[in-house]
Amino acid sequence: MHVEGTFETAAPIDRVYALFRDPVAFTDCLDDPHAIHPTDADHFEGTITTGVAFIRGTFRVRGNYGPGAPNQSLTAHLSGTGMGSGLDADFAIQFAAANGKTQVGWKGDLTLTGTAATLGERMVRGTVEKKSTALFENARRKLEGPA
Amino acid sequence: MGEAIHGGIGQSIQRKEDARFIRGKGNYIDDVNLPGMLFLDIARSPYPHATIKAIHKEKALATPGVLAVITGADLAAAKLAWMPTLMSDTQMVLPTDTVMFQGQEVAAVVATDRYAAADGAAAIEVDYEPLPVVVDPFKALEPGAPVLRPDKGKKDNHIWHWEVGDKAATEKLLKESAVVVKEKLYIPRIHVSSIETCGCVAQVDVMGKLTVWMTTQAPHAIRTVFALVSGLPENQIRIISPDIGGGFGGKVPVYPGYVIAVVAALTTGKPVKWIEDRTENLTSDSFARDYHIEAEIGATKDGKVTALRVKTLADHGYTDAAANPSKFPAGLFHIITGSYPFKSAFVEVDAAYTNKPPGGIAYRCSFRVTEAVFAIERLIDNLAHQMKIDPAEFRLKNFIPPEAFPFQSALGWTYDSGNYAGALQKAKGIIGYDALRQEQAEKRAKGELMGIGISSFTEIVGAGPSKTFDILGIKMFDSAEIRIHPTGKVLARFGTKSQGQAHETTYGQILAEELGIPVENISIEEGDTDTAPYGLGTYASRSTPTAGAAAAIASRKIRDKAQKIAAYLLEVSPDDIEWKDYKFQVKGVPGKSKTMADIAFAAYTNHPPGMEAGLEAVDYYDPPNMTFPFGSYICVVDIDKETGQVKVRRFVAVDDCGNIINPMIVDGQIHGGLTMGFAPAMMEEIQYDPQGNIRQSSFLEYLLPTAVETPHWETAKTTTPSPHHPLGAKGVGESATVGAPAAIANAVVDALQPYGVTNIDIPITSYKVWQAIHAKGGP
Repeated sequence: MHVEGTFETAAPIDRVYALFRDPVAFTDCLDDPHAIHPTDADHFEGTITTGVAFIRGTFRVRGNYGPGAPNQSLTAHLSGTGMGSGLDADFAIQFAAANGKTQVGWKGDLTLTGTAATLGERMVRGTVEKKSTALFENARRKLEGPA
Repeated sequence: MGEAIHGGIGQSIQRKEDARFIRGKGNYIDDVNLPGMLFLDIARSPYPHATIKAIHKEKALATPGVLAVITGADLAAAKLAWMPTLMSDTQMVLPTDTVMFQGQEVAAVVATDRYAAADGAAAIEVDYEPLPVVVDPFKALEPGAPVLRPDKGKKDNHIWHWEVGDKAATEKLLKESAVVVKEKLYIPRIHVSSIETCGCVAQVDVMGKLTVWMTTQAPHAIRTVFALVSGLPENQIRIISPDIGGGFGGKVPVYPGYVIAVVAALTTGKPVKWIEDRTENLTSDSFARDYHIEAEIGATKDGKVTALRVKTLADHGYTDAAANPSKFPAGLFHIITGSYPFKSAFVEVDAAYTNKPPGGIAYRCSFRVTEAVFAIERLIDNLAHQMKIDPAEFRLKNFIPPEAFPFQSALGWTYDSGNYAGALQKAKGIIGYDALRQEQAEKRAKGELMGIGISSFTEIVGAGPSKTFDILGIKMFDSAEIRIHPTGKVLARFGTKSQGQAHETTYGQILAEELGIPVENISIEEGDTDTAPYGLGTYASRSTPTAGAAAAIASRKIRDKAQKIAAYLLEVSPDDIEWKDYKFQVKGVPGKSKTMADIAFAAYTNHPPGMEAGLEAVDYYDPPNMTFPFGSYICVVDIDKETGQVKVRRFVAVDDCGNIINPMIVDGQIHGGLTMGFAPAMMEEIQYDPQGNIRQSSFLEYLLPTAVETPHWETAKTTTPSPHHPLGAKGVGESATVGAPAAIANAVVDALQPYGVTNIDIPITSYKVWQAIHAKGGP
C-alpha cells in the first residue's frame, strides 16, 4: 500500500531534518500509544499500540534509518508483528528549502499481513492514509511550535 | 405381501436423532468437559512465507493461568514436528524454521482457561524474516520461482503429474472432429464452513491410554494415523467422534491442533481441549477445489460428441494433504466424461505447491467430481450453443442410452446403471422447458436477459472396491456389526460416522426392513473406535453404498441363522421355512410362523443343540464397483443487464440415487446439497492477494447463502437401482452439490448469448456479469 504527501513549514531545514532523524521525536508525532527507543545511531525498537477498526493491539517494532543525505533526504524501514499481524514499511522523505521555508515530501510503502490485513482489509487503506496524514501533520505542528 | 414393518425402507419416518438435536441435547465436541481440563490456543503466523528467527515464550509464560508453551522445537525433540498427510506428503504440526502460509500454527499455549490460553497466545513474540511469496500456481511453476519445499528434495514447486486415457487417439479424434470447443475454467478455492469448527479433547488416563474426542469423519483411520505418528500402541488409543456439526470433507484430515492437544495432554497429564474459532477455521484448515481447467471437446457435424481432452493445474497449497484414495492423486476427476459416450478421452493433471494452506479436500463432493461435472457440463453447453442446437436436445442426442449399461467409459469406469434421458425428460416436463424457451425468445427480442441452464451429471460414489481403493494402504471397505438382544431389540454399530446425515434413522430403516424389527427397537452407534467395527468413515457419499450394504449383508447373515432357529422352533426343516412378511413362515402355512423377536429370545434360551447361542453378525463390505448416481437439473435465471444482478427464478432438480431408504431424508440431502451448489456458483470464494493475505477470513467476506439468497428448490426423482448394491441404493449426499453449479453457470452463460459470452468463472458476481456485458458492448 502506497501513501504519500507533502507539507510546508516555517521551521528551518536543519530542525526539520533533525526531527525526522530522531526516532523518539518523530514517533512522538504518532497519535497512537507508543514507546520507542534507539538501540544505536541508526536503529530503534519498541512498541506501538494501534489497529484497524475493532482489531487493535500492540505491535513490537524494529526500525532502522537507511541511505540519505543530511538536510536533503532520509529513508527508514520499520517492521513489526503483533495481534496476529505483520507490518513492514519503507519511508522516503525529501527536504527542500525555498523562500525561507522548508518543504517536506514523503512517500511510504506499507505491507500489512495477518489479521489486520484480512479482517480489516476493507478499512486498512483508509486507516493507513488517515494515520500517516495525521503523523506528518503532527510533525508540522510540532516544528512550528516552541523549539 | 403383508403390512410394511414400521420404519422400513421407503418410509419417510422422522429422523430419530432429531429428538436430541432439536432440544439442544446434542453432544458436540465443545460439550465435552472433563474435570481438571486445560485449554489450548494457538499463535499463528501473520506472514505467508517467512523464516522464523526466534520464538519468545517469556511473556506468554508470565501470563496468569498459562502453564506451558509448545513450539516446533519441542515437537521436533519428540519427532512430532511433522506428520504424514493422507497423500503421503508431509505437513508441519508446528514449524521449526519456516512458515508456509498465513495463519499457520506457530506455537501453542496451554492454560487453565480459554481466556488465559488466548491471552498467552497473543503474548507469544516471534521474530520473522519474510520470504518471497507464491500464491499463483502458474507462477509457482515458472523457472526461478522460490522453491517452497526443499525439504522434499524439490528443485521446483511441481508436486506430481497424473494422466489417464488415450492421448494419441484423443488427438486424432479431435483433429477429425467437425467442431471443437475449448474453454478455460477456474474452479476457485472454497471452504466447507461447517457450523461447528474443528476441535478435540485429549485425555491420557492413569494406565496411559489416550482418549481423544474429536471432530472427525473417519475415527478409525485417525486412530491408525495417530498410532503411526505417535508410536503409541493402537489398542492404547481411543478416538471418539461425538455429534458433529457438519463435515462435508473438512473433517477428514488430521489438523495440527489435534496433534498438539494430544502432546499437551501427554505433557501435562491433564485433559486438554482445543476448539478453533471461525477465523482459524476459515484460514488454516484444508480447502477444496482450486482447479485451473483447460478442456476441449469435439463433435461430428451432426452433433455427436467424439473426444474430450483436459489439462488441469491443481493448487495444493504448501502440502498435498488432499483426502483422496491413494491411487488417485486427482481424485475421481476422470469421471469427467460424464453422461456421454466419448470414443476417446485424455486427462492430465499437474499439482503445484503454493504459499497457501493445504487444498484438495472435498466440499461435499466425492473426490474432485464437482470439478469434473462442472467442466463437462459447461463444455457440453458451449458446444451446443456453437452448433446452434438446443442444449437439452444436444444432450438427449448424446446421452449413454439405458441399454448400454453397464457402460465402460473412455477413461475406464464401469457405470453401473443409468437412464439419463429419463431424468432430463422429467426435468423438462416439470419446468415447462419448451414454454421457457419460447419466453426467452420473446424476451431477447425485447432486449431482456433470461437464461436456461442444464446440468445432466453423472456422479461416482461409494468408495470403494478394495482392488483399487485405499487410503494409506487401508482398503476402503466399511462395516456393520449387529447384535439382537434376547427381547428382540437391536444394537448395531458401524465404521462410518454421521455428521448430520441421519445415519441413526437410515441404518435403522435398513435393519428394520431386513430383520423385521420396528425401527424404534433399533439403536445405532458410530464413532467410538473402542466399540464400533473398523471402517473408513463417512465422506464421498459412501455410507449407504458401503456401510448400508454391510448392514443389509450382516442382517442376512443373521437371517440365515435365524432361519435354522425358526425351523427348530417350528419343528420343520430349514428348507421348509421362508422369510415372508417380515417373519419366518412354514412354506404354504402362513399361520405357522416366528417373528425375529421370537427367534431372538430362543437364540439365548432355546437354541438348537450344537448351535452357538446368540444372534449377531458382522460384515465388512467390499463393494464390487462404485455406484453412479445421476440427475438432470434445470435452472432459469433473469439478469438485470444494468447491474449484472442474477436472480435464480426456478431450479428443478431430478435426482436418481437408485432405491431410496427414506425419501424425506433424501429430499433434505438434496435441498442442502443444492444450496451448497448454489453457494460456490454465486457467492463463495477464498482469495489471496499477491502478498499472500487471505481475503476471506470471516463471514463478513466469505459469503454463505442464507434463506434470503437461497432459491426455492423443486425436486423430483427417477429410480434406477444399482444392480450390484444389495439394496439397489447408490448414495445421494453430494449429488446436488456436484450437479448444481454447472446448471446455474450454464443458465447465466445462456442468458448472455446475445453478447457472445462463453464463460464467466464462478462465483458469478453481479460485477463479473456486468463486466461481461460491457466487454461485449452492452449497456
